[in-house]
Amino acid sequence: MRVAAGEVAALRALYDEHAPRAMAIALRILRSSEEAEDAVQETFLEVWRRAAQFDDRRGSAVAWVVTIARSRAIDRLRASTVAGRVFDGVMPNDDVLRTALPSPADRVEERRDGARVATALAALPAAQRETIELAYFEGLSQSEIAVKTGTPLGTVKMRVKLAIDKLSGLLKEGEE
Amino acid sequence: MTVSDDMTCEEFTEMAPAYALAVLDETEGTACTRHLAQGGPHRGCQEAVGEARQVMARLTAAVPARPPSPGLWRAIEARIAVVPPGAVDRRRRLRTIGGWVVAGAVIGFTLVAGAALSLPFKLIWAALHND
Repeated sequence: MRVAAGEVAALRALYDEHAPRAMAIALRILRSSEEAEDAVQETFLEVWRRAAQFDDRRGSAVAWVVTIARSRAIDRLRASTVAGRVFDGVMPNDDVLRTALPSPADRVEERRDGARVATALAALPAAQRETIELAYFEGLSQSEIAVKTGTPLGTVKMRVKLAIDKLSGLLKEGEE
Repeated sequence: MTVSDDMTCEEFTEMAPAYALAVLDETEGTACTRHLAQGGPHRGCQEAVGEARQVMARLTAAVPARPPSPGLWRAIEARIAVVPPGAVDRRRRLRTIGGWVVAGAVIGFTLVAGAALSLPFKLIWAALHND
């Protein structure tokens, strides 16, 4: 990765390409644009500092950036939950499928991708979809999901695994 | 699934989606990190994490992309100007080296000071027993 060699232009290219996605997930979790931008800033500083550790066996560059962004957002969420959660109204607490509806300004490919993901999520059994929404988009741990939904922890663990495996297959099918 | 100290690759790959999602409890997450850090051969562990992370990256398409404000890149650029790539690792290494240097200095000082302080007592002891 050229970022590891200290190329600011390479980091800028990575930022231009992936910051909107990093921002989207941070905003979905934190529901505050200010908090989300702070999380995205921390994300790209971490990318800059840890670029040499990037391992493409553990996913592509976008997967790495999104993973870091989500982790930093969850860190902030857990810190702000202690102090009282921040909400500036930029993202109403609607479910994922409704937020997945593409806006007219989105690019065609993004609309297609959004539709594919929405379709894949809709194809999951309701319990698995709810588990993934709580885990991925709300930043809850498996134990927290078990408490919130009144479901045995073992069942939650099984749902997470089944849902990710199924989404992986569905999203691959959607690309073909 | 319970977490054993010597997690197998099969156990890890079962937990890989939850590990990639960062939804494991602390003990389980630490055990997974330790397993990944172990030297190989692994049977598909990195790949299982990679696959789950790819799914996660795709899931962001379910929320509308949101370009950050124009000032955010400037803020990042200003901060990286004073932080070279890999700075965290270098700082950690320096802290470790610094820690050993300080520890060595403290041990050395203690030995020297101990020897210096005990010298008068040794002289008195020697003088008393020579008589």
